[in-house]
Amino acid sequence: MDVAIVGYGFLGRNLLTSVAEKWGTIKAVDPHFRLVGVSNSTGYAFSPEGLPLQGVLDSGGLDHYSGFTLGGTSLELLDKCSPDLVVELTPTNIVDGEPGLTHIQHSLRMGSHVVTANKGPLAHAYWELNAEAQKHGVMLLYEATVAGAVPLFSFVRECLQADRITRMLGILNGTTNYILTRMHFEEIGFEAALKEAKERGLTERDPSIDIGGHDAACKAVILANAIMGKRVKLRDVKTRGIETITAEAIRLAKRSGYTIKLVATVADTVEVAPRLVPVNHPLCVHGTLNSVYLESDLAGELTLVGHGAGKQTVSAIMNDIITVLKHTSH
Amino acid sequence: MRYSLTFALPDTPGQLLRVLEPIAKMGGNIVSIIHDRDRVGDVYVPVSVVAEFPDTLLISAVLDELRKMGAEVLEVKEVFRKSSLTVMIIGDASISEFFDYLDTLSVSRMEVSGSSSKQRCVKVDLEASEREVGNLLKRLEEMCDSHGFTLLKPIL
Ligand SMILES: NC(=O)c1ccc[n+]([C@@H]2O[C@H](COP(=O)([O-])OP(=O)(O)OC[C@H]3O[C@@H](n4cnc5c(N)ncnc54)[C@H](OP(=O)(O)O)[C@@H]3O)[C@@H](O)[C@H]2O)c1
Repeated sequence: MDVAIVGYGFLGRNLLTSVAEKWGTIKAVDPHFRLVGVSNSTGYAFSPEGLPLQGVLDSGGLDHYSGFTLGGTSLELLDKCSPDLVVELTPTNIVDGEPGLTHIQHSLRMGSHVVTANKGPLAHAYWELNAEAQKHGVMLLYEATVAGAVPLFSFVRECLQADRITRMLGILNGTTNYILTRMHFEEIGFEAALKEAKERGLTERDPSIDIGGHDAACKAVILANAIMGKRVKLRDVKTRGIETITAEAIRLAKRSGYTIKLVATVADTVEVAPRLVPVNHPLCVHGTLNSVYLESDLAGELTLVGHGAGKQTVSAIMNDIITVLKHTSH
Repeated sequence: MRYSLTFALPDTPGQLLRVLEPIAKMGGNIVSIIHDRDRVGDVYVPVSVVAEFPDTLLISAVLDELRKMGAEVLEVKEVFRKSSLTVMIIGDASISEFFDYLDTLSVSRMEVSGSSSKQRCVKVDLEASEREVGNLLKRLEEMCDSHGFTLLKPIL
C-alpha cells in the first residue's frame, strides 16, 4: 500500500518515528507498505519508490530533506502519488475545517482511504465525508480526533456491536482538565492555573478554543454523529467554558465531595459545560487525562480513560492505519 | 409509576394474598405493605400496599380487577419519589438577591461561599419529585441565563 502523510508537525514526526520503530509489525500486515509522500505547509517530499523513513527523520525538518519540493501543495502531492491511504495531520481549524476538509474530500474522491487526527473536517462535515467514503468504497477512520490515544471508536465499533449507546459524558479537553485539576488540588485561581498551563505548552495559540469549550464541542459533535447516529452540527451544541469558575466555587464543590470539570454531554441534546462531578465518579480523572463514560442498553456503564493528546496519540493513528491495511489485505 | 393502595380487608386469613394477586399479575412490584393491626377487634383492617408499575394504564386494570372481586379500596394515590439535587451557581449578586431568585424553587439547603472577588458562589440542595427534576433544572437554567450566572449542574 502506498501511503502519504499530509501535515508533518508534532504528530506527523511522531507518527513517522513510530512507523520506523514498528516497521516489522506493519510489513507483516502489508509487505508492500511504502511511504510515498509527506507534506507540510511549505512543500512536500515525494518518491514513487518510497521515501527512506530514517532519511526524512534525520533531515532535521522536512524542508531540509534533500528531495523536498519547496512551494508544492498537498493537493499537488496527492495527485502526483495517488496514494492508497492518506494520513491527514494538518492543524485543526474549527471555523471551517480547512485545509483538512479539502485534503480529505480530495483524497476520498480519488479513492484513497483516509486516517486523520484532525477534528475540524469531521466536526464540520461528518455525514458528507462518510457519504463520500462510502461512495468510493474507501475507509475514513478518525480515532485520534476525540480523546487522543483512547481507542473509543474502535471500542464501540468492535466491542459494542449489539449495544445501543444512550448517553455519553466526556472530559475531552486536556488543557481545561489540567487547569481545573490545579485549581482543585492547589486551590489556586483560574488565572494562575491558566498561566501554568501556558508555561507548560498545554494551550493552543488561541487559548479561548480550549477555555471556551469550543475544542470539546467539536469532539462532542463527532461523538454525537459517529457513535449515536445523530445529525448534529457545531452550532447545535450549547457551549459554555470554564472562564467563570472561581477558586471559591471549587472549594465549595470540594466540601461536598464534588469537583468541577468541563464535561461534554451527548444525550437528547449535546452540551459542553462545567459540571459538578462527584470525586468518586469514574469520569472524574485529573491532570491532562481524558475520560469517556458511556451508558448503553446491554453493557450498562463503561468508562475509558487515557491520554487525550501528546505523542501517545500516535497509538490511535497507527491502529487506524493497521485497520485499513488489514481491511484491504482481505 | 409508584402507587399506594389502601384497602379495608376483612380480618380473616388469606385476605391480603387475595388483593396482592391482581397487582402482581399486572406486573406490579410490591414495595411495602403496612398492616394496621393495632385496631384489634375491628372486622376490617386497613392495609396500605405500595407498588411500582411499569405503566400508568396498568393501575386502572388492577383497580377493575379488585372491584370485580369485591375488594374494598379506600384510597389510591400516586407516590412521588423525592430526589435531592445539588447545583452550584456563580454570579455577581448579593446573598439576598440569590435568596430572592431561588425563592420559588424547593431549596432544602443553601451554602454561600465567602467571596474574594465580585463573583459570589452558592451551593444549593434542591428537593423535587423525580419527574419534576428536568423541569426544575430548566427553570434554574433560564434564571441563570437571564442574570448572566454560571450554573453548574451535577452529571447525575
Ligand atoms: N498534538 C496532539 O497531541 C494531537 C492530539 C489529537 C489530535 N491532534 C490533531 O492532529 C492534527 C495535527 O496535530 P499536530 O500537533 O501535529 O499539529 P502541528 O504540530 O501544528 O502540525 C501541523 C502540520 O500541518 C502542516 N500544515 C499546515 N497547513 C498545511 C497544508 N495546507 N498542507 C500541508 N501541511 C500543512 C504544518 O506545516 P508547517 O510545519 O510548515 O507549519 C505542520 O507540519 C491537528 O489537527 C490536531 O488538532 C493533535
